[in-house]
Amino acid sequence: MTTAHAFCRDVLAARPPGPLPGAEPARSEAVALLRAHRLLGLWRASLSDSDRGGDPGGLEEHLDALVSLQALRGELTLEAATRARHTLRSAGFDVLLFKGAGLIQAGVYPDARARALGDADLLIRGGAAAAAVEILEGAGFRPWTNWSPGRDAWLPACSFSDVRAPGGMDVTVDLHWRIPYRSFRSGDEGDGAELWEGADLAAGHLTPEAHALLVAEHFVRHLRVVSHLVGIADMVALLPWVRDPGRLRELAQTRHSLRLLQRVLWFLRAELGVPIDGPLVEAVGVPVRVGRFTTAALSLERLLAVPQGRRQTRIPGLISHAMIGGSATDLLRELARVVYPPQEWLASRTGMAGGGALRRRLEYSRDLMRWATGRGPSPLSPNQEFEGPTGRQ
Amino acid sequence: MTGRGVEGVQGPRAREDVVFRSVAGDWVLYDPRSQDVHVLTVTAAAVWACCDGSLGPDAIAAEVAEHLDGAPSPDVVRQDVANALEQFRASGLLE
Repeated sequence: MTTAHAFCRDVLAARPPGPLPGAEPARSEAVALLRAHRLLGLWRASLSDSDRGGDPGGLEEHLDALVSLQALRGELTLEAATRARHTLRSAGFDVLLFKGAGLIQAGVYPDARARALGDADLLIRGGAAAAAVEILEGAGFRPWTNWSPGRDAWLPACSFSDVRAPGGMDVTVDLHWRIPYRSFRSGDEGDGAELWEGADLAAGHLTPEAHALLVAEHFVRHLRVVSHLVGIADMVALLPWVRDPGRLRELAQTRHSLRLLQRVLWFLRAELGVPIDGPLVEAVGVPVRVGRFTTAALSLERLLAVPQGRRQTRIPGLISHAMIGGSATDLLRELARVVYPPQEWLASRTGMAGGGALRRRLEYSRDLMRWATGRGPSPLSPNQEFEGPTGRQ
Repeated sequence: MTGRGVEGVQGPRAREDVVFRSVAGDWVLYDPRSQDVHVLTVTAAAVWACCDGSLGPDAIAAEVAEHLDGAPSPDVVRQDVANALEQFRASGLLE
């Protein structure tokens, strides 16, 4: 493990690593990794005043400026999320915030300086999607792709740009009505009612147990395309908030995510050296050892590596996603769901009922192959189906 | 000298597209044209908040001195306000 990797490991594990490594190339490598994985703010927030080297016009001042810009974007994203939530609440919808924006709102992070936000995620109850999208459109949120009837049958979420964001900044809010992070393809999962149990509807917070599970699921899901290490920092920050390990296990079982959760907690403990409370280890059944596949897929060195170029095959990531959370059989079953979806699902995806079934299936298969080999957007996920204003994936 | 209510005289006016927010305890300006971000001192933030075109530098200094706890002497405040306005101008943040 390089000095820069060890430095980033300490940032992720919330062991304040202090100032940047003094010598090159470790110093430049650490900065590049912190920037690529959006951990600059987390590191800067962990520094004591004495560690904040005074170098006017130097690297640290430049990094502070980057963190300030990131924090401003985060603040505007939080404002947009709050506005969207209040708009929907006023219309009678229950709305929860989750992941980055939710963690800041719940006080898990002190502010938008410590946790970079690419967007804000809102969760509404299943069945409310079409009406909620219409209300948000009326409040100045523009969907990345046009809404068509039946869209909620095959998609779990919709991304919006906040056209009222000041200064022309790109501010994105994602509205979710299902969270099928364990599946490749949305459409057959349950309504996610378990996530709402015990939630603080007035404040818009999930329980810490539900939140921790979602963050773990999301991290593993992201392995298909990128290492979302901010999610690991989120897990580390959330664990002290988990008061009911038994509930966490129950939720994970309900969502078929227990194996996935066990492996993410194994990663925290084995790879990052994060201390995990005994009752949590016992309740979840965190393994002491995992198989070779998981060891390789969740190697910190591998996760920290910054991919070069955009055209990378997603197949290894697909396999990692499926295998960490399940078995080879689960992977095959999931691939079958993706490769040969039911006609109703294909019809809702194209917004067409009736004829053209063969054509729809062929077009879908072509799009799927293009995505799997890194040559096209995903036909399965809204965030990848369309590249938004920021060109994100 | 410029000041509040002086007929025909306009004070410094902040560009409307510049974003001004309190972020994690800091006051931050973001200029969408240059994409520069400026982290302000409390005094500079107070000056910026007064840049609506209705106040001249002396009136801004008086507002700042009145609203900042532990403000230094009027001369020092006037100089701080002048410096802040000069930096805003130099950065193209004023109309």
